[in-house]
Amino acid sequence: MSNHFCYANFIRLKIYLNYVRVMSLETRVYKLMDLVARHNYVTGLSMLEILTLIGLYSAGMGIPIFNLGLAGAAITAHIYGAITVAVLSIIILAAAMRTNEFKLKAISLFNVLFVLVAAFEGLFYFGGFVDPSYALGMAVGFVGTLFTTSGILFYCLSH
Amino acid sequence: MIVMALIGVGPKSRLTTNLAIVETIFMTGAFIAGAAALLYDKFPIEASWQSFILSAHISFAMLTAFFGLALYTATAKESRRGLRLLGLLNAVFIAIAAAGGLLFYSTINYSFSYLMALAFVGAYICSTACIFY
Repeated sequence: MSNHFCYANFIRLKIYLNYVRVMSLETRVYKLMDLVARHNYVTGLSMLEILTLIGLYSAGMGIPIFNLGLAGAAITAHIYGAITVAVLSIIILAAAMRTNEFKLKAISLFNVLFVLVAAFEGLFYFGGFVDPSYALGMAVGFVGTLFTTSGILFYCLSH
Repeated sequence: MIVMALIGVGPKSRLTTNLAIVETIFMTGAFIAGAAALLYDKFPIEASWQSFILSAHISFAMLTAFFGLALYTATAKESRRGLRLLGLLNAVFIAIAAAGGLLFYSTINYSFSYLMALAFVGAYICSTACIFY
């Protein structure tokens, strides 16, 4: 479909939307399963990881902004999200190592390394050394994790 | 439906990739400076190093906004629908983050700071997607 707006493109869009609407639920589920299973399930796993990262970040960012303290619902959600992300990143590395794409393998390795950095800085911060420098290190690890995870996801979606 | 629109293989211009790389670097700088401002700065600012952190955050945020607009104009000319969608979403998220930051600066209400933090994630995902997609 070309970029500029014209009547023919409008009709093509209407036909496409009608096709999506008419598809049965079964077809939609099969299409989603095909999508999720691409590249040895790396696509679906990276989707799960990015959703978990968003939840973890919104819980973790609420703590310093609203002064919630290191006890309660927010820190619990943050730590459980962090554990889930750590497990998912290792599973993604294992799944990506069985594909034939070097780029995917390399980004997954960096993903695990950034998760490791964030996890260790978070553990230093939470377990004794209450110094803001460790929280900043956790933020740096988070940025790297977000970069690599969304890189994996969109690489999988377009290749 | 949006996910279905994002599946696709096709050409991508060099300009889009390079602009997305530069924008992601600026956004990373803005995030790290912003986290440092959150952790170390106290309002009203007294020391010059505190004001340095805040100035770095604002400078990186402005550069992000300019490169976000440039990325939008580059992606609007692409032939793939997913890329056009990502460029538009990136610009929208940056606009939300900028509005949140300015509202936080005018009314010291921390909810706007939280809005800025959440919009950052969306903008960062979209801009990273423009590199790898």
